[in-house]
Amino acid sequence: MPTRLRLLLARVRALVTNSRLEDDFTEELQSHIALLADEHVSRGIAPDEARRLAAARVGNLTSLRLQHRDRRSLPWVQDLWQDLRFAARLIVKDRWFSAAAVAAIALGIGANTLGFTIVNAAFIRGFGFDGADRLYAVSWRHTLGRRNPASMADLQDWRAQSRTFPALAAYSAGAINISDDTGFPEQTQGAWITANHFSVLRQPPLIGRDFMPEDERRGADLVTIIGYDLWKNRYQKDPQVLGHTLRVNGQPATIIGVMPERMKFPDNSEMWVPFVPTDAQLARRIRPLSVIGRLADDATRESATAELAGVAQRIITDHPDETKDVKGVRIETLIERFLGGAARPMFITVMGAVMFVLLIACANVASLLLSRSMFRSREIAVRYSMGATRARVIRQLLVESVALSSLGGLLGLGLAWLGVGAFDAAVQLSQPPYWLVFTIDYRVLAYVAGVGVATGILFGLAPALHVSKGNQHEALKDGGRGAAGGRRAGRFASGLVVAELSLTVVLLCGAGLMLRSFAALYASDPGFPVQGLARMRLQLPPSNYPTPESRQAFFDRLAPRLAAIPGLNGIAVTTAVPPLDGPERVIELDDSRPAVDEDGRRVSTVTVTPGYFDVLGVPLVRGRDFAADAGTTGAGTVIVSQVLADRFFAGQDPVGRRLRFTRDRNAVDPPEEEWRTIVGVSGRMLQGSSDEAFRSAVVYLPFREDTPRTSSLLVRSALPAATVMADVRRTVQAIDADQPVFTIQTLEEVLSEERLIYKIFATLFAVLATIALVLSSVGLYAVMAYAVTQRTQEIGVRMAVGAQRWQVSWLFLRRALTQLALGLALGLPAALALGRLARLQLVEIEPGDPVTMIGITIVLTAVAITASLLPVLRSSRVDPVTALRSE
Amino acid sequence: MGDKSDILQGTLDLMVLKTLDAMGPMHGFGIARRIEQISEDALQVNQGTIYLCLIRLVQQGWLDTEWGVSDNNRRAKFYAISKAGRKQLAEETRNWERVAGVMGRVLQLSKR
Repeated sequence: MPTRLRLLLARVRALVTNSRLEDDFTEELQSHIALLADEHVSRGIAPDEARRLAAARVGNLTSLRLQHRDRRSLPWVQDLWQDLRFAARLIVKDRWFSAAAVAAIALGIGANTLGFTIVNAAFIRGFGFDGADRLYAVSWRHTLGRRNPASMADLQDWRAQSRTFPALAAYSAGAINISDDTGFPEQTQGAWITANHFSVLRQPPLIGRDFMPEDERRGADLVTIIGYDLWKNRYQKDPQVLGHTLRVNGQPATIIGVMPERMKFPDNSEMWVPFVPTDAQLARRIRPLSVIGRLADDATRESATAELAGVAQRIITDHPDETKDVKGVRIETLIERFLGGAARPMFITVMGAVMFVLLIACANVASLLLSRSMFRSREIAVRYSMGATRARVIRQLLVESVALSSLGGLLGLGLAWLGVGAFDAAVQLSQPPYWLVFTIDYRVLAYVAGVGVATGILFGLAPALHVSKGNQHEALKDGGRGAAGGRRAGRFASGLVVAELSLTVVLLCGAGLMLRSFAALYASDPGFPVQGLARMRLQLPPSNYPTPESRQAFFDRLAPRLAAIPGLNGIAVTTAVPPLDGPERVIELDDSRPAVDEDGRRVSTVTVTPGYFDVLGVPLVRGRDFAADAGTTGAGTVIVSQVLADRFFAGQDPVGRRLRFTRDRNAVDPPEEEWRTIVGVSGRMLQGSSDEAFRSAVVYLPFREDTPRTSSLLVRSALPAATVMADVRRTVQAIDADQPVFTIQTLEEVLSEERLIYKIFATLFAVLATIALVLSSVGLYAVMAYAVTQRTQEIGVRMAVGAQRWQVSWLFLRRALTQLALGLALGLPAALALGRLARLQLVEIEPGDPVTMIGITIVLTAVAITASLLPVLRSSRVDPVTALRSE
Repeated sequence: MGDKSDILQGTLDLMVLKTLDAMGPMHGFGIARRIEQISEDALQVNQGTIYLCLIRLVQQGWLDTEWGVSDNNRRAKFYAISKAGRKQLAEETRNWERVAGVMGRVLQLSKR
């Protein structure tokens, strides 16, 4: 082996020093001939003759040099080098062709890379913890199927009885108010965590120490670990921050550590505090905890699921009253846990779309290569006649196409870099999960390299196989023009164009549907005049405001002061400003109608002060607003949305009717819910999740009934929002200096934030579809242009025997139209089928939306005809005499 | 190409190594001439082919090379057997003798 290795090394070295070795060998041969000639001369032969004899005795010098080169070096590398140099020359020579091909590939690979970057961020890179693939989220399975958090008692049972998870940690995320004697009070996302949380994640702090078991004991001094951004923004990265005391929800706490940058697990958290359960939180039915664990080395997801299902079943058997809402457990990877809902199919759809774009680009370049192949058949024939094997010819053609695709890939990477930057910037505005960062990392680079080579082979192989076949003698005779091979290439290229067109139809339809649904979303009237509305969020910490009464007292002090602010035309307090909505509950009505199933009676609840609808400018279509003291007196009152009225009271007047919420089955001995009288019906407005905004049934509850901890001040004013909100902030902090305000936004901003994700994806799809359209029209153009060039002679003959120009044009136009028709015939049904799959992502638009389908057909037809018009016109301008004389 | 030349190459390697071991540093022409003499012109091939063998031996580290001057004042590249080359020669010689012995016995056998 060492010998062989040494040989290989010597040969690799020889690759570099090749030209010197070549000279060296030439000189050696010359010296050999000279020595032999000397010998002949010494025997009395004339010098000239001696030299000739000597040279003959040594052998064919050229062949020797070639063999010597092959022996001393790695011939295939040198061949490859030679092929590459040839390819480079060809690329430079046919620079327009190359530019077209490289541009097509760059668009294809660029789009594909963008898609992969998105998928990589969402599904592959994930959280970046050490060994994150062994981390799982454990939760109860709610009877309705969704995940349900766990109680401290559940956690203790799971910990005690699980062997597949050596350690289980838990957290409860929420907003935390921070204040101290130096900076502004502010609010940040935080999490109450078990002391082993970071050790299970294997995430040590950047500076300071991790939590220890003592820290979560009851009565221990409160300590906290803060996030990097908080450290940077509030403490200017001061290392002396360790030991500093601040108030966490009003309670003094010592900072013991700082987490590294970009570590905000679980929920964009900037502050972590030990979870020390209160007496109430020790109850099994109180389930605030999300549980995570790291799987033991010998355990699998299946074995862990089986084990914990057994544990869960025992808990259910032992505590039937406190486990009515749960059945079994759910074990999910962190990505499954944190990336659910609409985002998942959206990302997968993007990946599918960019694959289409890449395929279109490949088909495009393949048809370009085929079109060029006819000009090369003579060159190939020469190669064969010089003794090249077919494999050698194919290899050289593939090297050419891979060289093209590599150039395209490089350019595509640049395009992707721009695209990823724009995409990430747009997505970051919608405040995604902290770990969802779209960047080009090493995985993406490896992917681009792989795709670059693969596409080169993909689009190069068919033309290479085709060109390397065929009758070489004929090719040598007439350059392949008019030969059967040319026509076969033409048919193959036409097939590729049909494929391109049908893929484009699918993409255009997808993009069209998304744009249409986005437009519908945007055009939909929110139901209230958005201008002049702004909101500001408040959270009253339980330490300072433990009861609803204390919170109400705060608002009662605040209200008159706010009313005194000049320029403020109206103010209300609510748990949700439109289009947002509140927690879901199930209602029942006072009549004995056959029960609709629970899901059908699900409504969202929003708590509002009197005047909410006035400030919004939404009229009550029936009944009246809440009374000033609504919620304090005995009989409860509610206002319902128009959607709710339509759904549950079809045609009848709901005012005066009664409804109540079903009992909370999670509670032990839940209190009987009281009946509430409907006093009013609100006009239609956008309130609820964006995808079913007008379909959301909402019950509005009076604010005083249970004054919430977290709420928004909703303000209407003709003055600029910033001015008004600064006044509002001052007024709030004049009452309670520790009270932070956050999320100051105009309602326009709230609305566009809600719509942002649709906008981003609709834009992305529009860009992808445009690329597809450009690529396939260029493909169509190239194939038509090729056909016209190839058949110039035939056109000449036709014209010579009396064909009219329009007849010749029709010959080619007919072919373009046939391809277009085939493309549409294949593409439209496929688009319809895929549209059904993607139905979830559409808002107010059906997958078979006729406007989209017809629009796409018209656009594509127009573009396709335009693309083929130029070659068709050229065909009609062919001068028969010149055409016949050519060749 | 194929088996025949492989065998030839193997024996040629051995001949070159042995020649250099016995005669000291020589140039390519000298080696070719010497092998022709020993083999009594049995290997009537182009002299140039000797270099295809020499480059392999050099790359395997069995020969050292140096440009020098021949007896009749011509510039020439000289080949000398290296330490590794001697080891290889010893091994190859043993192999060859064993194979030759076996072949000899086999051929004796078939003649009988």
